[in-house]
Amino acid sequence: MERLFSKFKDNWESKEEARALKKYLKNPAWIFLPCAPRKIEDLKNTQIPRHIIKPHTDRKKVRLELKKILGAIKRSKRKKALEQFQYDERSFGASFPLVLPAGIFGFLIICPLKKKMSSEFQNIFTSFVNVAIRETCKEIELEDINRTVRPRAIALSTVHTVHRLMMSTLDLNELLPRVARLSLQVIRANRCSIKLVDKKRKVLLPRATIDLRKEKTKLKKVQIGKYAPGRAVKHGRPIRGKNYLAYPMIDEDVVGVITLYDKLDGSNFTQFDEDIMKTLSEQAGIAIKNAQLFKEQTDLTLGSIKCIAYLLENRPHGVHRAEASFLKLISIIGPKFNMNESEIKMLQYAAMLHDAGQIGIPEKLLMKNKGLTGREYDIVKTHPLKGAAVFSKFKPLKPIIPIMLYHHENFNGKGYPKGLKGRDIPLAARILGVVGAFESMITDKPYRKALSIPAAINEVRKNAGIQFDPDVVNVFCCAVKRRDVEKLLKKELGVHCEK
Amino acid sequence: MKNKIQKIMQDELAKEILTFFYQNQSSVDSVSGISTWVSNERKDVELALEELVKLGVVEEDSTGSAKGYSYTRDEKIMKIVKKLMSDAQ
Repeated sequence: MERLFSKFKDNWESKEEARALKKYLKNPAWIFLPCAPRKIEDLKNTQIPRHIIKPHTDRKKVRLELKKILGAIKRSKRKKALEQFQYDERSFGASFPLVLPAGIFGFLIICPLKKKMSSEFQNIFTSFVNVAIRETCKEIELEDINRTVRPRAIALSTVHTVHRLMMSTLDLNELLPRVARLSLQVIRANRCSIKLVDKKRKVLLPRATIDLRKEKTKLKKVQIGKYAPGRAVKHGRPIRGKNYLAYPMIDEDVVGVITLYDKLDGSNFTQFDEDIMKTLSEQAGIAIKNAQLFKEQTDLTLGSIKCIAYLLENRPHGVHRAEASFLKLISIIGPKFNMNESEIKMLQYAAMLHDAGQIGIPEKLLMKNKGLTGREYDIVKTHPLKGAAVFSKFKPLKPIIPIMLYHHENFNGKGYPKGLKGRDIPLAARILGVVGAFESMITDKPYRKALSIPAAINEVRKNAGIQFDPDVVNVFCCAVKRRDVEKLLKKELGVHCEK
Repeated sequence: MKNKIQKIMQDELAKEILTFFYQNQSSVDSVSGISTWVSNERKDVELALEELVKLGVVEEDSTGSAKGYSYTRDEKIMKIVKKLMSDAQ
């Protein structure tokens, strides 16, 4: 009723229709009654402004005026419409029922009026009051929505954002600290630890923790069934204490457990925290399982590549020597050209397999210790095409096809198989061109002895802009001189690194 | 730190974002989500968030294209914000 009163007041001051009403009604008093008074005593108790009920000394007259108001209220209630009444000898009043679809919720008394309202004016007045009622109802409705729906919408948006953040990585080392951070954030706790199930040993291994306290707790493995995290995993349900909450992460089977300790505000963990963690741990469980599956698949791919590389290496002519040092070189050079992690990984795979096409070249040509004839060289030059053809059937390795295909292209356009020039050669192929040639130079071949590392670097440098991309050569020359690379080369190839 | 936070709160939008996080401390949201809650342009919200992140009042969690912003967990900063918020009321 108060809200309606203030809305009515605002509209009375601001709305266009109010001007006409003011002109006609002058300045009467408005009385909003929340329900119909039954007797005069009820009406007396309501806050009727004093100037409406004139300060008659004659109590009888006061009673008479109140009786008239009461009568008008009753009539308007019956009619569900505006009812006018003779207030005193010279003025009138009106009672207007405040109606909602659910029924009458109050009355508006307006008096004293200098003259009776015409039917046309009654319509204007009715519409003016109804507008105020509608606007007030809408405002209340919106406030209700805001009060009840907004927090839920914010919570839903949080769930959505957390979901996106969790699902955007397949790297467990990145994912687990993120899950811990987000759990800590959403629950507002001091400490969060993520433990994953080690099925073989039947223990939980700590994989990530975030601890905001000064004195950190040492991470330790936990037996399944022991302590809150162990019990949560064993029973597949949350375990909650005053200052801890352990929630299992389940995706078909239990993947691990998120344990939160000590709320920031010192309060106890509640059922509400448990409800939030239910959603969060489900998302985390799926994300972790995805990451584990991805790792398994990556390991499988890498294992297959290593097998193929091993078979190639162990052919009599030893077509392949992509060692850890070359993979290391690639991991140093790639980021300098803004290659992302997956591009670098593919380049490393390509490095292991780049000459795999030689498997389709007659061994006598590869073993030949004298120069090749023109025809023989043409046959050898088909190995990038052959290699690409073999691996085009292996979907996960599709990105390495252009690298395999073009790693023998020269920067000046005189390479093979297509004679591509400059930046038309894919970047990864240009990098492999340099690293692959260096690898070949420092390895013994049937037709020549291996070069020393400095000699090989000089050879690479000499061919910058001719055979190799000069930008790649510059980065390569810095990378190959790094102590860690030198050490690795020496260890793997037994090559003496001359200064 | 108090002066810096006070200074950033002179910016209406930054103050509004900070108020949102103060009132919804468990929230983790994207730029577009936050711009909905504070009824403001995405670009402006992004800039204001950058400033709040620099100050350490808001934390950013990003990975690839996904970015999430949340309220600080730093006890000292939380105390300062609490004081400033109650002063502002």
